[in-house]
Amino acid sequence: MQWVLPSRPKKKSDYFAFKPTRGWKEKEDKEKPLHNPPLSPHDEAIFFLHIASEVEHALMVQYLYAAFSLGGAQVPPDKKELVNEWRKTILGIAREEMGHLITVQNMLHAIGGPLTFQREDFPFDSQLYPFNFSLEKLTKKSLAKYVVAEMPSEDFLKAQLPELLREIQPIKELAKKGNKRKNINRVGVIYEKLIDLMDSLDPADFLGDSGSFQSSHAAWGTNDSRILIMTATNKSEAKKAFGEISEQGEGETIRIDKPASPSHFERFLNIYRSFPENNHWKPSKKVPTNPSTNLSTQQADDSVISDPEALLWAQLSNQRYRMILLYLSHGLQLEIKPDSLYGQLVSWSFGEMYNLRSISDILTTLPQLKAGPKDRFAASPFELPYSLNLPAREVNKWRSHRDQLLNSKIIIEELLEYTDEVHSVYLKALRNSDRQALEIINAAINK
Amino acid sequence: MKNPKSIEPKNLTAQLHYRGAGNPPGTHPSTAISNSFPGLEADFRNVWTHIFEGIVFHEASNLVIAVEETEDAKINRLVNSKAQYFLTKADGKFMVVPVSGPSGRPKVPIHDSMPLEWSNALAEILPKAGQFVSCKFQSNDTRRKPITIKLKVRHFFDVDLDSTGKILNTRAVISRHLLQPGDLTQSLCSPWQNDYRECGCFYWAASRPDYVNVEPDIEGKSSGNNWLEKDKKKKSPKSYISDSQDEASANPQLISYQDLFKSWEEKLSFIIEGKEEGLGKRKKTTKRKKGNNS
Amino acid sequence: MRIKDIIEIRILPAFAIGRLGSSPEPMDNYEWDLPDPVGYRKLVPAETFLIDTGTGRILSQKKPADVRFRDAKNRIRPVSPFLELWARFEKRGPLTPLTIQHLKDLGLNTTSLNWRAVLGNNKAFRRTRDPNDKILGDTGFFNDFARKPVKGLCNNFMKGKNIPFGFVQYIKPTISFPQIRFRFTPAAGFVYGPPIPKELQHDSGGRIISQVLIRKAVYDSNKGKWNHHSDMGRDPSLLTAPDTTYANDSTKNARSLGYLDDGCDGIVEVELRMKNKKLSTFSRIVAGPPTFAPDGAPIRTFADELEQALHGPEISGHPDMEEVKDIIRRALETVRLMNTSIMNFEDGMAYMDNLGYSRALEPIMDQNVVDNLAIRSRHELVLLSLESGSLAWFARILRDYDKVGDLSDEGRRRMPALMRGADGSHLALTRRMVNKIRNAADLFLQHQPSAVKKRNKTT
Repeated sequence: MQWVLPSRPKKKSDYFAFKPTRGWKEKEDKEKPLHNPPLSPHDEAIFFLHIASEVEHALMVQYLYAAFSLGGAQVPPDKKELVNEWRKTILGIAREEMGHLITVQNMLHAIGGPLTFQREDFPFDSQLYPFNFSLEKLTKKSLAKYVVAEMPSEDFLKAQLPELLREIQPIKELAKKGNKRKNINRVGVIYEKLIDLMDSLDPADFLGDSGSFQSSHAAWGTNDSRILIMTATNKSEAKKAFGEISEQGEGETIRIDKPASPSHFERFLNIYRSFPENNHWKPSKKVPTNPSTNLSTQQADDSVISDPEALLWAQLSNQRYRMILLYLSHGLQLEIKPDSLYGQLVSWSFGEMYNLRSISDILTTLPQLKAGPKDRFAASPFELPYSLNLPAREVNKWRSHRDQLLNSKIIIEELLEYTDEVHSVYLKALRNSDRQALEIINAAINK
Repeated sequence: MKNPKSIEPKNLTAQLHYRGAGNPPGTHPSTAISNSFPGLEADFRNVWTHIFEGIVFHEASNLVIAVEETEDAKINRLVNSKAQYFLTKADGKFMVVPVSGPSGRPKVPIHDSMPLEWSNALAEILPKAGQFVSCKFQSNDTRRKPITIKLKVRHFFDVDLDSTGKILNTRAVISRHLLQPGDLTQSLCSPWQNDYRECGCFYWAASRPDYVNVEPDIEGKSSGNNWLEKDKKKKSPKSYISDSQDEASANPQLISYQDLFKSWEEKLSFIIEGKEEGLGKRKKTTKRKKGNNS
Repeated sequence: MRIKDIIEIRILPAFAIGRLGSSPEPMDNYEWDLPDPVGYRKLVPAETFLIDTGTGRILSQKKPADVRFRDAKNRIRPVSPFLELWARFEKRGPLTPLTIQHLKDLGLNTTSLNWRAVLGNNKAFRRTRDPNDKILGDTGFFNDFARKPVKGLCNNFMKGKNIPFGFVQYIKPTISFPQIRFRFTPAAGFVYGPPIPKELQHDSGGRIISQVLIRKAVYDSNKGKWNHHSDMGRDPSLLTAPDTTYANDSTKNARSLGYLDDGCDGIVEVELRMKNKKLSTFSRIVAGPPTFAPDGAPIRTFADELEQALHGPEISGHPDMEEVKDIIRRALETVRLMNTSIMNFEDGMAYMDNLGYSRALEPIMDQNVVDNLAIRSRHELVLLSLESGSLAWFARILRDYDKVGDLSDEGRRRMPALMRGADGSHLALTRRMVNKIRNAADLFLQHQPSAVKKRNKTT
């Protein structure tokens, strides 16, 4: 079974109106519009919210992949605890990116824009995306990219922490090497732009009744105060939300009212500092970069998962990834009412996060290649499906979820013929769990 | 669960896990709830009332309600004065914690305190059995000074001691010094059926079910019955009748207190896989062997 | 091999629970099976002893055809635990079950063992503080195999009356079943009380009320005050928590109806008279109501308490993943049977917090996500992730024992949620349980690739 890949997606530059004005850079030409002809403020705000969402999604997936690559038999025993801490830290950052993603969707609700669960996915020379999307194991080089993407502005560092600015310079150079010699862009720029854009919006651009569509921390925050899920019904609340997201990423402002919690930048920097140089010891397993389940490209491409069992698990991983995006998409689009199945969508979204993690942990113990060195392991490909669109009608949304469960069943049945005792217990339990979900979904379809 | 044929005397874990031949899971302490407020099979809070030699605590608070016969003047002061005394610290550990949160009035936070339940509060003190630990008692009369006394911690489990107090053997049974017959169940509801209605905080769902026959409704949300509803099978669609505090206890749709006292066996159903077992229905007929079985 | 001495005796299990039921047939043995790790446990028949109560002998040990909680007349079969006598024959030897052969080796016989059961019900006493309200059943020592009723006597009962607490029996060992055993059969689960005055024996429709209670009149209201008792107006520090938990007349004064039940707790003790010494030991028994959802277990139990009392709150070394799964499974089994929507706000801890501490009356969780099936899915999915050897990151959301007073949104949403603990506030697991889960979450578990050969399938 083969995951159907789309044809090469369009570049943003193929879309009308997006013709970056020459010389548009972080600071200097902030006044110059990004589009030609310029977009209306409302439309531009939506554009940047989409970029923000795609960036958060992309970062989250890349961070997850990096975290899942950590560990393995090659880690020296005295370093195991350290690597475990790193894994926990990066998974925590990924969870916080999920919070950012949901907050951005809330802001889209606030101004009445369409939600998006797309991901910055294609090699694209952009001044907005932080770096080329790349699912890769955690290395000093990839860490450098993450540090630089999350860092506060150089102006801020120059004024407040000049020694740190000096420390960053070689990290920037290394990061560039890991990004095909292109500069890394700060994520913070997007939010700075969004804060500015809010001022150009009309108060009437904020819909007063969008509150019943916006996700709450109570529902999605897993009772973790570090997960930022904010709502807004006016521009100052929106600006506050963007400010807090930035702050969590960069840590520019010292907040005395918030408990001490290092920013993403600081956490990545700490890992970078103690990450071994020159492969002195290896914290990460040998997992492919941008793994693929497309066997037809196998000859040319070293990243294909060709071990038959690993391939099935990778396909299952893709399927569950698709499911989480669709559950999220559905849940976040619903008007939240007590008599809806909102709670169930929340539970299933989290359930698929747990499943992705479980499957990823299994994949990274399986060989990547059918024939080849056994110390090269498979990993979750996070490949996107042919579409992330959900049908318009509610009943058809549920049918879409049903399709996903049936897709999953097909893969599980095939896997059960392969897999060993321990994994088959998990698979059968997953199949039973899916069966129960199907019962509820069928009720929703047949009502 | 396989019962072992031999256990090391020191292996108290195995002895605690041991269920015994012929004994179903319901006989084992792993099926008796212990978030006792007050509890169902027994009230575990009663185990702690005599944990310190000389003092008797209220089972549900840190109040000293009595002292054992003693010449010790300090201990006697805990009950002889007009004030009441509460244990606030034992061996340096707090027995009382703050209560905080938003009150009904805006910007007015709650400032209160509450005594901890004993099992967790005293968990580190048990290894000091046989030793004296410093205990601080404070009065509800704030004019009175706290009283600090060194009290001996009793052994939780039944032990054999030598003349110096060193432990020779420990058994897995709770010491006789902590509980007399009737102590464990004394603070439960009387009769126990009284606990089954109008409890506003259903804390024992796995033994005394609340929401049964649960299925997705036509919208996919749950619909089910209250375990205490009469005639559950006849209702369609199902709706859960709440046994909320505010409703009159004589809601005719719920099994009444008198029903429970008189005919609980008939009225209460076993719940298997979340659904009512067929009342009185048998799947197969089995001929019982001759001979009384009891 | 002949034994030369008995160094020590112990009764196992050390704590056994009987469960009330009026059937003369005791409940059979069964086991829990778990075919689906996130599904329901299955009840599977297990080896059951058939006792001849006349002679005290075990007639057979067989698996019944099915698991039935009721007899043919729909009466509930009481869960009647067996206690076994174990012994140590050498100073450094293990404990093994004591048998009739061991006794014979030492020139002893079954009459060398003397048993006694002492069971009490002090529910009335706990409220009235009148020692004459204590109900005590004491068989005295016996060494024969006749079934002994345990009669709960009370100074404040009418002359000649008692509350039967059930039966105990020294099981007669035989060649086929040589082990020394003892059995407790709890009572029927009747309700007792004072006699109801003739004028109150009929309701307004002329029907006789509380037939059972009229028949089971034991309490002498001239001697005792149990049926006049009221928790209202008493020194609050002496009341039970919660208070007014006795059957009452539903008025403002909540006057007790004087009802009593045949639940009880106490000890079974045994003495072994040997040639030159006497050994003795005891265990504890309790009689309580049936577990009406017998295919699950509660989230916090006596076993958890006893384990913490024995080993302390800290965990050393790697936790047993099966124990962590067991805790989460019990959480799932509890949540399945809870109306989480109602307990989130309308009733339950939100209401209690407001009543007790004037905490703002608000739902605990987001009202839109607490439907029972949604919460169940969530727990199942966490348990599922444990099954893969991976760990969902939930250890962080457990409530610490010393934070039970945290009534903020964040505090109340910690796990276990919506339930009440022994201190009346939000439930916390034992510290040992919390540490097990946290320690497991810290481990980075890896399933080692299996050596099992896989089928080669061409895609």
